[in-house]
Amino acid sequence: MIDANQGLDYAGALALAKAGRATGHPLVRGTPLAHGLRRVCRAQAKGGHWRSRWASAEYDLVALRELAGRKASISGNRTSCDSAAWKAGLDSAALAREHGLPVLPHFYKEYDTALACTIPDAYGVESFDWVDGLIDRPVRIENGHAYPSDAPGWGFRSRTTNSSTWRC
Amino acid sequence: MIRFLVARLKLADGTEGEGYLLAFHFSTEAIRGALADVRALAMGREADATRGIRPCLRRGVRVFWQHRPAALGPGHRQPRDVGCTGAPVRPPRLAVAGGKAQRVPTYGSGGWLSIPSMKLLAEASGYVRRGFTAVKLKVGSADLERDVERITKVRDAWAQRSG
Repeated sequence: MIDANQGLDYAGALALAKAGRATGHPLVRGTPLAHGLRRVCRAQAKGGHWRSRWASAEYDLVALRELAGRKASISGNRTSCDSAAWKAGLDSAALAREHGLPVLPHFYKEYDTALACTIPDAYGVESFDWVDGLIDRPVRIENGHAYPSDAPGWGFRSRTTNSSTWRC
Repeated sequence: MIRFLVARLKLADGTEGEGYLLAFHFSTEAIRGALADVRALAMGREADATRGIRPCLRRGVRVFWQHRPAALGPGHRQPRDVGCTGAPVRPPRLAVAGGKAQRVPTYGSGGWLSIPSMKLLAEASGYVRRGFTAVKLKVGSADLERDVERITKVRDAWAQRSG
């Protein structure tokens, strides 16, 4: 998995892909380029305005396909799980499907595992292992797969150490 | 250091949920103060209509939301996430969302550019031990060759460990 959100632009990604190919380590054969659609991600994260950015999304998709064939994925940062954000996420999945691309949510697996199970073309969910120590029921990982919880709600509760209570 | 602030909401009918803020090194006291401002504006709203609160936040706590106090650094926008993940503690989320699949592929996060090669390899090895079959690597070094070298090393080490 190659994540290019630390400064790599499209031209840099192309150069890296070529360099990898030259050294016998093709970077984009079967590996998604996370954050390939950074503009879409940012628009989604901001919410409300992302639909107006379809043009750039389409442009990036074309660029990604040129770079990675049909192995690229749509990646998105979902900063909230309200109904509007969920709808936006499903729209992203529909856009990905339209272009024959898998979907990479790029958020916490504690939330994404269950949601990614609702679409047929999820490429995977990201695991931040340090979260395991902060919650009471870590996600089960076996053979490279994450399993959604069958516990109520998201299936976990945060462990808190220093709490204060407000009554409303 | 990674720190979270967790907001746990309990409604009168017993429904419970929680949201979080990834606080990093930002001032927790400043964030608590911001949350105190948000509390008054958030009360009485539907739990899943979190986006509707944004215009109110801009109007109601203008200084905080627009002038971005240095104490909060680049994380200044994150308090809005608190409560967003608050979900009724009832059916499993998979059932609510209508999921059909029983599992999804996962990959280990990390691979930061700031991590030296030895630590990078140890991180990848740890993921192999824990049952992962994929890991993420950051790219975008100033030196392209460094990216290629890091990827090559991790892939070779991964093949040895998992093979």
